[in-house]
Amino acid sequence: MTRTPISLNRRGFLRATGLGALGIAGAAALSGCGPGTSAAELSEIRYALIGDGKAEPGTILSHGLGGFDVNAAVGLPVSFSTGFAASLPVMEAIKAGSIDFSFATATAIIYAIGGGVPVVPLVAYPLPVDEVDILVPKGSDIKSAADLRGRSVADHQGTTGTYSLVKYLETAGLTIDDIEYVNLTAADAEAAFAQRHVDAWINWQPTIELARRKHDADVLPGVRTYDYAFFVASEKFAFDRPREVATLVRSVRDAQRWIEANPETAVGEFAALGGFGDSTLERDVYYDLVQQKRLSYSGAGDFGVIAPAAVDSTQDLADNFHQLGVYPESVDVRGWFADTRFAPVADAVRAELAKS
Amino acid sequence: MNKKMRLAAFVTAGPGRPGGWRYPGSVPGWLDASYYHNIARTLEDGRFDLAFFPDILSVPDRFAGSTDSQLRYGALGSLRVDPLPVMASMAAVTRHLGIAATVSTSYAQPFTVARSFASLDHLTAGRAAWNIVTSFQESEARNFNLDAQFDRSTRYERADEFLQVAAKLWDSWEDGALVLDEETPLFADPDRVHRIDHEGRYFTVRGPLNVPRPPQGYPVLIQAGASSKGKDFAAHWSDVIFCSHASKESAQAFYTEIKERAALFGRDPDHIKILPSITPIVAPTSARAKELAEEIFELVPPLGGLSTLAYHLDVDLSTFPLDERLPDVEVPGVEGHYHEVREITERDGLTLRQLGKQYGGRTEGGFIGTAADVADGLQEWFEDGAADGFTLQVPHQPGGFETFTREVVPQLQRRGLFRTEYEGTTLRENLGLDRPDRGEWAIRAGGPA
Repeated sequence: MTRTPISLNRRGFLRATGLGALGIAGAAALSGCGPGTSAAELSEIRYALIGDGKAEPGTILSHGLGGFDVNAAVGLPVSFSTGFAASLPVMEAIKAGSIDFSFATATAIIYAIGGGVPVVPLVAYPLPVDEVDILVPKGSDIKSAADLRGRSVADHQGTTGTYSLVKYLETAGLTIDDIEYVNLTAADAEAAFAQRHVDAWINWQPTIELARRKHDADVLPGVRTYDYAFFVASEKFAFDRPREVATLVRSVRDAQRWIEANPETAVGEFAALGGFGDSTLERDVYYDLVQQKRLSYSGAGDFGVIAPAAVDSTQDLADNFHQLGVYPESVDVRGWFADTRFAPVADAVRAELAKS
Repeated sequence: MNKKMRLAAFVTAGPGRPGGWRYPGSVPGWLDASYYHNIARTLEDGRFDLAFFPDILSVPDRFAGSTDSQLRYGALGSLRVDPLPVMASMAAVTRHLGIAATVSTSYAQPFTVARSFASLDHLTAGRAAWNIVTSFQESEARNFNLDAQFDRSTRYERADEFLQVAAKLWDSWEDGALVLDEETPLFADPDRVHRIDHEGRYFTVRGPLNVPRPPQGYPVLIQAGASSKGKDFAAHWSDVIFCSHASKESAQAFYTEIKERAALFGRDPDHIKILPSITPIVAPTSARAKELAEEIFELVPPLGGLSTLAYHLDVDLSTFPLDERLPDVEVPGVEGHYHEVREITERDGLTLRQLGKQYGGRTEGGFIGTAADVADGLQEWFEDGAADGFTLQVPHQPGGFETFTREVVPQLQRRGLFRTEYEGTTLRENLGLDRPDRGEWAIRAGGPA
């Protein structure tokens, strides 16, 4: 935490030195919900839900929908913690010893590697190829990647959107330096887009589809999603209880499959839990995206143990972000994934997922 | 740990912080009801106790004797929508959020104000709060038939009597005086509605009020006095105190002093909630938070900040050299803000120009970092006796409220520091304050004036 006012005569942006400074302070500075469980036996599994956790496979498990009984399946009580805005802060919570299991984006994984978070990768799957979109106002003269040259594009830096944007610009031989890059959170980006403060806005589902319908905007063709998503466990959980980790992973997969097999019922249940506020538009968008398999969890019905493609893609993302200056250092993703301590856990997960 | 912090949101019905309106994500929706509705819904999602609207009754002209710098830079007094209609509009889309509007005792009549807040308290089912100010600008006096404002002691003397009259008017209907018995008939019981026959130095008011006693007894009373007179007034009358401190240490000193004064005046110190102002900058990583703070800071024009500071201090700062330190000055305006800038000036050795930028872009408490970092800092202030909770200011609206609600509130909830559901139905219940009995004004006023 910065306790000093910002220096008045700084040139350019502050740059953190060392990836550890990306925000993972010393573990001591992170107070989670009490002490870590370093020596004690795990008496319950603390599962992090991203956002309000009211419309995803974790919701099925936390509310026992669709006949799921996760406590019985795993053989340990599973408690669910909501209120993580993204998977990156969950990595901090794992480091602080207050979370045992979570979804994680590739960017969160890289952050965890750089920050020395004691986390074990369990499964990976490619995000839906059409999960990210670039929005432009209806009738905009921007029709393709090449047209973005010199134009302002809003993006939440250091996310899946950033990676897609870099790759999309590459298709026209452009780099981030060829556009006016505007780093904004999704809420601020939407406001900026609505007021025409920016020419384009890149984000992922369901945010961007909801915004497209709300603002009656157009999307650019050929924008793709390249990165992988993961599920991870704390080292303590994974190493001490590989069988239970594997069972929980399979429960997540089966919950996602149930959502896709029963979309009407699932979305109805999510709506009843307040997953879409009082917005029918939000509910409709979500339902459509489940059907089209365009959500972050859409691949979770088919995930498997970490494959080389997931490692390569994540390494490429890390290298790109390092070149962009998002990460001050290069990160050895491949070396981390090759850690032999992960092998027994992977074996347990592979065996469990073989059960249909 | 079952003591919970309280959260107020400082919402400006105008551009507010200098430069904030220039941030790409800022929405210039101050003249649009839906803008306030969205903010109200966000705050209620975040389980905030209340939204708090500051106010001002003129476009300040304290800097170089002109409104130019305020208008040009979109400084805090450039445009300000009347908070009372905004408040009513926000209440219509919420069920729990308390809503506080600022009304000055120097340029209003107690009957009008007592009636407005009693009405709002009924229409919101007990969620109204009044932020009491005495005003400190010549430019405001000139909008109300006066050549000059009252001096500070007159302002507070008048405010004290104003509060007594308002409270007597709220008490002029006994609870239950509205009978609505169609058979008898008895609409309102004449034996339970009383004249107040107040005759004082500043006001002569007969009463009764034409609105029954408010659901909360009195609306929640908020005050922000930091001068010695202001602190006395606040310790006498306030349910909630809004203040502004550059460091935890000065916040602790103020906190201790107010609680001691309250006890001295025969009030329960726990029934005064002190909520210092904070302006956190939150991002996924601390490096990004620092960058973001820089970006926002760069949007502040030094003269915009100085214009606001000149208005706060009621001193024309255009008469001092910009590249030297601000000398010691007599401050007719807000002493609290003067202590704050003295602290910053001495600590960081700032010239007046730098001070203007720093003041306009100040982030009280320096809560800059990840959501966990910010929650750590708030927890520290809260547990170390610097605050009963906080008044959230944001560098830009409405995105700043969304970020705090989405990122920081869950952190506070997970630590058991903040509610996950509203405890009660009225603002007093959520703040953990008693409903005043009729006649409590006499205790708060410290005996008959």
